[in-house]
Amino acid sequence: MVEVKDYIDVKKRAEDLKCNVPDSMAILPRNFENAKTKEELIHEDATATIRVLWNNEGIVETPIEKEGESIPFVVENAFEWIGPLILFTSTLVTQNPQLIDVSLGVISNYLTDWFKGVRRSERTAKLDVVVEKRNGSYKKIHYEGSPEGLKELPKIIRSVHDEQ
Amino acid sequence: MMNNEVSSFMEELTEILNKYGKFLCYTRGIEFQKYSITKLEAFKKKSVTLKKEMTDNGHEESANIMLSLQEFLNAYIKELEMLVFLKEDKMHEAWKSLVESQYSLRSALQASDIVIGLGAENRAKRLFLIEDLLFPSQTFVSIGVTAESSECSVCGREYGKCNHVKGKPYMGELCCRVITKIKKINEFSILTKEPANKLSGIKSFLDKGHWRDLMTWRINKCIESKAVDQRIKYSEPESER
Repeated sequence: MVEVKDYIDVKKRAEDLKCNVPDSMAILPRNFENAKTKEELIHEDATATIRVLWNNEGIVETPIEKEGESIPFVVENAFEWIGPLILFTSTLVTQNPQLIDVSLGVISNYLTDWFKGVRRSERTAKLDVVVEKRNGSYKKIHYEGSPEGLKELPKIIRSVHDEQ
Repeated sequence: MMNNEVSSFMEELTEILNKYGKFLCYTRGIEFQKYSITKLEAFKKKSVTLKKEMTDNGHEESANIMLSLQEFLNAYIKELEMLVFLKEDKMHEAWKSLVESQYSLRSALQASDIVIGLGAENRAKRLFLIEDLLFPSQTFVSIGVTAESSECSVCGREYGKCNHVKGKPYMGELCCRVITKIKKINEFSILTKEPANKLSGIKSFLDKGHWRDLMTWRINKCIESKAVDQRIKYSEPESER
């Protein structure tokens, strides 16, 4: 299942919260849209894992946390895997589009291993992606489904980026 | 390439599982099932020693294979235990053994693909079938928290600052994220579908003044007596006497 809806201006929001402004790709806190202050920001449990996976593959992310800062994270005990909110800027989609496939492929492969020995019907991944469109506005894509289905997301991301 | 010692251990394991695996049926005699458990437990010690040897010698792939085989063996032991508990009318213990068997299989599959060749995926499906056919639907509980820090179980550094990834095997150990500091508890949930921990569930409920066991439907006398004690305490606190 994929849902697309409007999202706030990420760069402006990052500036307002006094966070680093992402210039290519970044993992955003789950409440990035609504948090009143920087101190209220909360990451998903999976954020640290995704960062390690990307780092191990040489994928560079611009963390919104400034040097030495850390954001708390939620731990919710369920078998479904709740991924973080991933931002792809228009610069990245235009200049380095293969990075979208690689970064989401890494997650998909990890989840295939993670769900080994779990009932097929319970192998559910949830992931949100924020895309900066060519015109500078933002859209949020919500994915919910099998880990393998994540590999279809890059096509949707590019199409959302290019739409008028 | 697989280490020779690990390779011969695997051959021995296949033999022993063929020999004692035939008792993984409800109809087999309980005495055979108990005997099989002791035999498999003794063999498990051998796997622990060999895994340690592989770890000490820095053979990471072999150590991970040994972890996988050890967990696979444990899944058999726990399934046999479940059958024994079912026959002894110890239903909560039977459930615990079933879940531990499922978790061991999951760990075996995460540690190495080697157990796929031994039929691990089919065993996992079989355990889900047993769960659905023999046990009632369970109600689980879980908590959601906001945490401030966590450690990597492999190296002890802050999780995310090293290269280890949760659920991946390293030198015969699956990496876990250990929460070290909780900021606040956000929620307490009651779940009917798969929770992260199938061992944290609701065991009894209050039915017309009696605590009824959800697994057996019997009145739980043990909780009843504790509940009476609680009532006495509430009605007559020591400070009021």
